[in-house]
Amino acid sequence: MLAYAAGDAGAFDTLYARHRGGLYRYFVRHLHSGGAADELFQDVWMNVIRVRATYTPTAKFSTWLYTLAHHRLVDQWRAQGRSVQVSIDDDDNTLARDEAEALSAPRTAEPETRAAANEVGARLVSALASLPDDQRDAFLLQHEGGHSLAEIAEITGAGIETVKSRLRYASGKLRAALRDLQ
Amino acid sequence: MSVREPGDDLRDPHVDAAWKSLPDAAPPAALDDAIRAAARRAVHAQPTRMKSRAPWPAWMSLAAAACIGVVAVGVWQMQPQDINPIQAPVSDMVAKPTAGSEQRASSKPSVSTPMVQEDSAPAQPALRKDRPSAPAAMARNQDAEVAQDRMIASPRATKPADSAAQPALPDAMPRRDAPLRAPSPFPGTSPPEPDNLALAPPRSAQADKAEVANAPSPPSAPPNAMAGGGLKQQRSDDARMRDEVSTARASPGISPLPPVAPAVAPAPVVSGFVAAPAVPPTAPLAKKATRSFDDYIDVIRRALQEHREEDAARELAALRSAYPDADQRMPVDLRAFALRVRH
Repeated sequence: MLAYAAGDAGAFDTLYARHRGGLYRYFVRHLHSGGAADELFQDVWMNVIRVRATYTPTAKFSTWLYTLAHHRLVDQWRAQGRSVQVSIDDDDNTLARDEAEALSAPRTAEPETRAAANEVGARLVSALASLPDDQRDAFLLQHEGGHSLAEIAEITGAGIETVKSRLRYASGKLRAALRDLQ
Repeated sequence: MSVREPGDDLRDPHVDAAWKSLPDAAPPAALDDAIRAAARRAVHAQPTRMKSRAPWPAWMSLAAAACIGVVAVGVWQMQPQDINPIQAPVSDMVAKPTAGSEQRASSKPSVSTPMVQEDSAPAQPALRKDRPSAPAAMARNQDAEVAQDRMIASPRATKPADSAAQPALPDAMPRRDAPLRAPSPFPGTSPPEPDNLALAPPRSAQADKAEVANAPSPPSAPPNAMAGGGLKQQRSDDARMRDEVSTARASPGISPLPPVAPAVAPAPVVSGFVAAPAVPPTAPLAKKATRSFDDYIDVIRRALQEHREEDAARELAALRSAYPDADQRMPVDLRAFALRVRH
């Protein structure tokens, strides 16, 4: 990031390639809407570009990046007056349907394995969507962002113990959703 | 991408396995290209060091200065000629005489009246010429205006022809053949009776106002009433009409009318112009807190985390204006920043 701030455009390409997937999936898993995820994703990277001159490496770049993403997500929730859980059966939940359809694509040669994987993935997506926002956020920051408990606490502005309890609840609910499939 | 940390005991292996089975969502290629292009544009748009080139020749500077001078002279010559100050345009409304005390003290208004009447009848611009040399006429004008103040509500039925013939100015000079009387400010309106004005000595406006204040107001003012009872009503009507006419007059000898509203100061008279009434300064509107204190704090924290100090300072200023006690309520983590960013 410092190299990019100094004028090295190639440094940005490296940063972007490293974090684009996780960040995009972070938005996708939260919003279950491709259009909204694209918009927030672009906003975050535009923000990175805009503040490159004033960037100071007080933490890891990924921590700072996902902090921007988290803030942008919270703004989106506030703009929506969000209090409704999105389910896979929602008509507006196009990406969740797309994900379910994508799961039908062949992953292995075994039809039974494919069917089982599709069902597990669909169940997992559905269970994730049913989580409260803060638990889902902690779960995604850990699994998509690869952040530690301390980093998740810094990103979300919560305490470490709070993050622990959120992750515990999230894992428990997801585990319960997949129990009958195991 | 998962990092093994002590908190990873919260991860469930089955959930992790199921998670890995999910398809990898990726941003569209068009979005990738747009973001990368924006990043490159931002880098290339940075100010670059100017390449060295040949210095600006000295003769180019002289040539540029000469061109500018020629253009300036040409523009100046193309400007219209200045108007002769003697023939300066005169407004339709005749200004009041500035020297008030001398003219009011004059006790021979009738002597110079015929002369003034002859001179002033033909044209309005002549009034300005005669004004400095006819102090008695000025006194007459002031008296006429005082009378006009009293008779501003007089009915329009009396002698409309004379009123129409006269100029529609409150300070117009009376005609030679007409009895000395105050001209009507509006066409069609009848001027007040001149008898009292011609014979009575010049009165100060203060005395008139005192008479107005003390005189009882009659139920209905009779036409051409000079009694004090109708002066109050006539004066309020006069105030309204003055506002409508919106003329500039100089009346140093006559104090401005009492204000209509107690909060509005009387209009000061300055060298022939009536300035706008002084309006008490309005208190600055208290800014209503549109957001809660915590919202402001959240936004400031977010901006600081994103290294947007300018935005954070702006939000802090907004917080301080919305909540005057913001600095006392400032969270510990933001106090250092608040100290840095002073009012």
